Amino acid sequence: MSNLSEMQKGQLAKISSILGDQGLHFRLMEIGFIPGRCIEFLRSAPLGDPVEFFIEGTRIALRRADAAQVLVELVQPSRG
Amino acid sequence: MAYSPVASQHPAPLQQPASSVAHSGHPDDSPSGRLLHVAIIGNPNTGKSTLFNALSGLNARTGNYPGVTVEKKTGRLIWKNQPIELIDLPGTYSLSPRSLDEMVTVDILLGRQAAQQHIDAIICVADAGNLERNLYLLGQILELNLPTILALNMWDSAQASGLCIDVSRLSEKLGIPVVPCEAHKRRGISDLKNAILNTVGQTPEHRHRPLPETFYEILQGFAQQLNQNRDTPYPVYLIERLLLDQDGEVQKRLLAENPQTLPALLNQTRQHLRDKGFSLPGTEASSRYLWSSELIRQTVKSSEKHKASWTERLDHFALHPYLGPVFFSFIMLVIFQSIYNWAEPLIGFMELGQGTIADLVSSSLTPGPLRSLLVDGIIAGVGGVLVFLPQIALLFLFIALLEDSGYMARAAFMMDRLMAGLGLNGKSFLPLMSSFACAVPGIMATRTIDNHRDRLVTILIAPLMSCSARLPVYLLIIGTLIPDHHLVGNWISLRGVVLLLMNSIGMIIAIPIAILLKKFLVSSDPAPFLLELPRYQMPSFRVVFSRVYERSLAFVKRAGTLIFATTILIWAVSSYPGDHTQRYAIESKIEQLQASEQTPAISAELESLQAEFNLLSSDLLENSLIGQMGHAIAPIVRPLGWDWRIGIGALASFPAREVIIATLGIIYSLGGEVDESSEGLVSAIRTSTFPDGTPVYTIPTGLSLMVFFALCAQCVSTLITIRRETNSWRWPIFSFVYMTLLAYCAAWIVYQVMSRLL
Repeated sequence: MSNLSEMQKGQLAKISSILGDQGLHFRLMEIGFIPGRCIEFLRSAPLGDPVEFFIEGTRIALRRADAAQVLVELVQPSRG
Repeated sequence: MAYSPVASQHPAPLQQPASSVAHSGHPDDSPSGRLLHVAIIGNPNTGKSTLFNALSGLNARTGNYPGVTVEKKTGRLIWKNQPIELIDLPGTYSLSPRSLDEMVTVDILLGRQAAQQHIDAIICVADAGNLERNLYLLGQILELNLPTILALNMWDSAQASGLCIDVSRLSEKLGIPVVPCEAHKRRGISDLKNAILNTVGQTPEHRHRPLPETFYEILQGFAQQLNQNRDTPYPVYLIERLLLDQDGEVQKRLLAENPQTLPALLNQTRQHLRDKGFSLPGTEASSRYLWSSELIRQTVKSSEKHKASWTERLDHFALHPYLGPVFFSFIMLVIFQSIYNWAEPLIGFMELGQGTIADLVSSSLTPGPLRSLLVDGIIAGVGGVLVFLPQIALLFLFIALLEDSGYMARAAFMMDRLMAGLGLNGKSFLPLMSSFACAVPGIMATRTIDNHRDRLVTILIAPLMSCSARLPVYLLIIGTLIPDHHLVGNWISLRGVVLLLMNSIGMIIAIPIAILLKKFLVSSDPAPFLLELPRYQMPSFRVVFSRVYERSLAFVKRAGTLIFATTILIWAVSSYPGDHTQRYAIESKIEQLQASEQTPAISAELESLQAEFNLLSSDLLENSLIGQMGHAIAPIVRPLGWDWRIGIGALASFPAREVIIATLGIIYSLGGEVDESSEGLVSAIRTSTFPDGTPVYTIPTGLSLMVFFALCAQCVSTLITIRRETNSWRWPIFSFVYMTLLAYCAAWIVYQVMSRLL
């Protein structure tokens, strides 16, 4: 099991669960971070943080600290 | 599955709105001539505001809801003789309020907002290219059981990305009218207007209940217990939020209203839910997404084209680790170059206009109090503010272009790490950057910051950025007092170094201030940083124009009201008490002589009259209320190295900092028409002395004066903009007090340290 902040560029993963406080949990679920859904790591910002993901047709950026609260199962190795 | 042939094969012409709702009569004989209230709601980045503008034209009015910072935007339109009021609600992903600002939306929709009419219909705006996530909000709206229309905006780009939406089937499944539209191109707008008239009075065809059935049973029992002794029962949707949103805004409010009974009842009911296998907040979100993905499966066909989209290709470059920041810096450079270069001729034009009006008034009135009020007070004061309009409008233009194209979110994405160091987020970067030209558009641009606390802190530090009105003051003082030395073998000019320092001091001091404000002053708000990077799109001329027009108009209106009043006040305290009869007489005489033929004798007389006039003006200013105040505060400003003359200058420039130059001109008997490069003013400053004969203007005094101007809140426009954006007098007053104290302390330290060093 790893989390969103540990993903590499181009990797795909399946969301398994969300940790963190109520506020973060609520907001993430509302915009589609639902366990079982696929998420792709697009890129990190030039300064390393935040990180951008592609989920259900949307590009969403999260800070690494928040991304670390989302546990995922990698479904595809890094493209290198 | 039946897909609509119109939608799939002919992308350009829009479909007729598909409605499964039985129409009650022709739109022309709609219920009555009563004003209909229609709310527009939608996720961020769905083109909601563009649609609002397309529907209402330029007839929007803005204001604030009481007690919160949410902007209240309404617009009027008449369609088929039916007057309609549109209410533009803030962009949101859900109707689960977690702050006071988000609560406003729910209150309006439920008709619980004071001074707000009942809502007759809701238009839910969705991005047709991203329907599934947009349906989350729609699902919650459907539970309100109000007449609702789904507007599928950005229809063209959804089709371009290979999506095919079966509109009539979607409408049938949802039980509400669904209208495809392209707000940018003004397409589908009449369909939407027709849909409003057809939908009013028609609630959705079937009740929307996406959560497990046990939830609704428990909710019903809970609602009965809660409402049994109430005269006005709580709406069911509010009670649903109370149950579902742990520590949410509804819970806060309802617990405060029912402190005795509710806490135990709420805990017990939530426990009951958990016992039934219900997880908070998980079950709601997964149930709703299950519903929306099933709906999408039945109504949308996708041809997998959108992965290699334009947006992805552009982002590869725009967010590239090295090229991205280079491109961003280039854009910033272009913006600032144009503000300083393009705005210059426009500013000259404004000044010319102001001068012409002043001349016109002067020539039609004889010198006297009325003319002085009009010319020296109102025209000079309001004109002095309006002169910044070209620059402000240009900034609004660039901000609108960045917002509408989708690049703004990329800028926030790249700058977030940097701004996080200040405890802010990436969305604060552009407002602060804009404030280097002028704080007014900077503060207005903070509206894109959805985190309440970050937005407030950004507003409070924005006036510390060195705006263009400070520049003339720096140039005058530096040119007069800082020696033209060159350092490091002619490479670096000392004057240039001082100018750079003055331009950066506010920004440097803003760092600890932001951290302190965030820590101690502004109550915490746990909203995480979530940034959606929308698809790129070509900015629409109409959208950009209306945004620039609206914001500029708001600025001009403010200049016309409170700034107008402040201007008169400052004119009055710098003119009275004092007997101006003699000054007016000399002024008349000068004007007569100027009109006659110019002989050497007349020129000489004019010169001596002018000198007498300037001397008299200086005396009158010194003895006016503001002059007396300048004398009174002399002991207070003495530790800064200032004399009473600078004291008057600083006082008179509280409404607008650049006024100090004209004020110093008058006080040194040179007349008010001096500028920062006036030889007379430079030499008057160099020779000015304290009563004991020591020179007033030394390098430490110059530095302390500049530091004071760098940090002080001497700008009524900014303070009034803060008032408008925070919807309270508390924050402009706070800004004024903290910045004045900060400016005084910093100027004091600079003077004390420098006068010992030099």
